[in-house]
Amino acid sequence: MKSVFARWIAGGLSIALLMCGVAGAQAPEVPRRPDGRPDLSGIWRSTSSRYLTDLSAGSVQVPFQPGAAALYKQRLANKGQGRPSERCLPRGVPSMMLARQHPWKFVQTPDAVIILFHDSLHYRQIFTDGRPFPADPSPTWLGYSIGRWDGDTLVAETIGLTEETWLDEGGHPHSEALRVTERFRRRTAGTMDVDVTIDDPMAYTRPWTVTVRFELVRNADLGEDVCAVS
Amino acid sequence: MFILRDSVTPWPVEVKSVATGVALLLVLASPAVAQWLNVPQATTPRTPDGKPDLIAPAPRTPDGKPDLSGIWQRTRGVPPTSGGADGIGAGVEVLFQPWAEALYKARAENNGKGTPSERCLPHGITKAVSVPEPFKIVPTPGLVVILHEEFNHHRQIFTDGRRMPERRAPTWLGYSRGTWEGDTFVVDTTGFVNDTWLDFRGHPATDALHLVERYRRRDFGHLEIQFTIDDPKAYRRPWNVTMGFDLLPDTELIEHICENERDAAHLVGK
Repeated sequence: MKSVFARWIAGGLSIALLMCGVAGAQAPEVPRRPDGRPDLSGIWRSTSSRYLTDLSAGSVQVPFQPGAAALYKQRLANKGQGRPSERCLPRGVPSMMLARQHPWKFVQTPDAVIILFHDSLHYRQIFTDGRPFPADPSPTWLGYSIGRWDGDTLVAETIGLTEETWLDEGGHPHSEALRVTERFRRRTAGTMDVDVTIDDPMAYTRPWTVTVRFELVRNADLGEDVCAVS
Repeated sequence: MFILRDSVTPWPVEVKSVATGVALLLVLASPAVAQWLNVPQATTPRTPDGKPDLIAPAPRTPDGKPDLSGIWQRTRGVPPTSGGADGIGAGVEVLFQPWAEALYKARAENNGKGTPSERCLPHGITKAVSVPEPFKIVPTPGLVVILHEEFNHHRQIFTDGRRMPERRAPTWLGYSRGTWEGDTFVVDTTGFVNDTWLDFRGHPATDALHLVERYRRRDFGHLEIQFTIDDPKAYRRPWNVTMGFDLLPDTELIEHICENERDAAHLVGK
């Protein structure tokens, strides 16, 4: 397996980033949409890859259930071998969002927020049209997401995630009972904080939350990074 | 050489047979047949009995242009892949450059074995819409997004008047810009990687490909896309293919990820 064109794209992207810089220094006002909601549109990327390596990032005591603790320990001992991204499979939610080298683009429409990923041309849809979750969603790699606004915060909840995904590249496991809540808050024009809550009673004794900061990538193309099975 | 009728052919263009085994496998592998998401939309026009009115007039966006929104699937009753005899070139006069013709013939004889999607690489534009899995068109101000169910791949078509970037790495889906000509949405795409496949049969395309798509939403339930394939490195003159698509009302895309060895159904020609 190899990442085709990854170097070209990454090269182009880093040049673009160097030339254009990352916004946030002057903190201009958060743009708003005609309906008054914050406009989250733009290309964003994690300010640090440490969350991808370990979602808890050492900032939270992860309340493992015993089985999950054992599995995580085993994955750590194996240096994360067997993670889905090795086989060009999607990292899942939330880990898909966390790779600093793979920015993503928010496209906000009245009915849904669509997230377009640089990684593998994938996408997520977060439905904001008031629909309920499907009664019995078949487990998928990116789950089924519905969103609502809580003041200026977009709250996305995701269920139906296959337990084949890992919460991070280190291997925090989850079951199909997982419910991920992401609270997207655009703090300034150039920065967005996302509170990620992992609620999975099969794997963790209580929900746990981390806050991941993302930065706006200006004047860059999203590009295309495809993963080829060889 | 495939000289049949004229080069602008009304849908359906593909009426030839497709390998039944491949078709069957594709159907079995399609998650769309495994479940169906019922998501009623308030915007769906209905007949008096409450069913979606698929021949109601095409909706329009606030600026008066046809609204292409919806989940679209290749018209039923036609071969489910573009892997049939002559691929998307069926019924169309295709004037190959000699090397391209030789390559195409070799691929066709091999039932399209070696197509990039065998390795989970993107289909390219014409091939991606020729599969049975639907795609969703999401028009937004300045950008039209296309979400393909197959492989969970997305495509962006910029409608903000931007120019083609001067320095840009070539990509599988190229760089697309869209404009309106009356009620037709016209998309220009260049900047492709070399040697994408236009269909499962193996029509080659090079990095010289300039693809023009003309989208026409005939009515609420029907969309037509005419593709003009202009690739002077591979073809002696541009050729056109028109494909028809049916709206899938009141539903949602179902995730489909290329899972390599588990997705053997996509390994055609084996």
